[in-house]
Amino acid sequence: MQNNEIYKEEITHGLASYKVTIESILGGLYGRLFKNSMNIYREEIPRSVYFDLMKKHGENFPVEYLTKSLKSKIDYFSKKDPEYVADILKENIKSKEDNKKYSLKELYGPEWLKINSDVKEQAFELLKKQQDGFSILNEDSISRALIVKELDK
Amino acid sequence: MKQGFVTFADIMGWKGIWLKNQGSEKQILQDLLDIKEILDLQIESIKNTDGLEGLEVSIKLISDTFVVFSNYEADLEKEFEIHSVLVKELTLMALEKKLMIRGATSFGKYLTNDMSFVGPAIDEAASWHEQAESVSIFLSPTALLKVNCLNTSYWQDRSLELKKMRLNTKVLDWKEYYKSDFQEIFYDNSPIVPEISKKYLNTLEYLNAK
Repeated sequence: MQNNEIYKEEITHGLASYKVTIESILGGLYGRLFKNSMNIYREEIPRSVYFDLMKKHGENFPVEYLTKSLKSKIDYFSKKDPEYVADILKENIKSKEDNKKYSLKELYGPEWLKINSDVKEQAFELLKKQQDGFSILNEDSISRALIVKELDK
Repeated sequence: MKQGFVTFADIMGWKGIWLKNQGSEKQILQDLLDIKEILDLQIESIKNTDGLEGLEVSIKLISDTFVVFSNYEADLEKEFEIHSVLVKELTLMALEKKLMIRGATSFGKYLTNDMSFVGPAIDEAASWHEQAESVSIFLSPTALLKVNCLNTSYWQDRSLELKKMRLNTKVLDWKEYYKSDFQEIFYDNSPIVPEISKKYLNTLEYLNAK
């Protein structure tokens, strides 16, 4: 059986490098998502589904469809990456033009609630170590912590 | 009652793994939950695929046992292909976490809710799934009969060694997709004493076969 790579794309997202590859296997499509060279996710369109999609939407559709589906998972895996979460928090506080006190939830946005608590804690630890241009009040509690931008005098 | 394919698959040597990892049980649980999470993500994508409206497929985890069930009255061939893809991924992900998995797939009627599953297809898969003496998922009699007229390219005709008998059936062919090194699992679990050797040697034989 010959495995035939038909698509490859490298994507930089935050601090991580992702790679999407699609191969043709068993008459269907086999897609892989790598993060920093490690295979983190796979998705397959089996032969019969592949042929139906091609008949209905054209020859290129299944590859485009799988590519889109794999790329959509990058966001999902980013939310599980403490470095990425810490980076978003840092970027968001840097973009503020006031010195109001922001909770982590306010800074990250509504998606904060979807992040696993272990990831939040690790991201918060990273943030505490990288206080540059902002300071953290109530550092001992992730739910009570407040971030303040240090405005230039 | 629904009708479809049902797979039961469990981790071989689970009691030994549990005892060997005392103090880090949380990590073993996390490994199993990680596998389920990725499969749930794949299932979500499959269900959202154009043309697969009405497909029902789900995975549950009870202790070290994964249960996959599917139902798609509109197209049995597609249901079988998708079911095969998912159990193949389950096998690969378990192996990547250095867990050896074995199981059986049946076909028939079943009923499920969040916590329970009943029906002949459940009973049949549950009764066969611990029988394999290698990393393998095989078709139990009802599924073997049902797939006669279906595309079975994910499966291989084999005479499979079970605990009490040899069974001529179709066995999931996962090695084309397996990119890790089985020797790592082999040596991690050494010494391979006679009592536990069959599952390792049979799996090696499958991997080495052309």
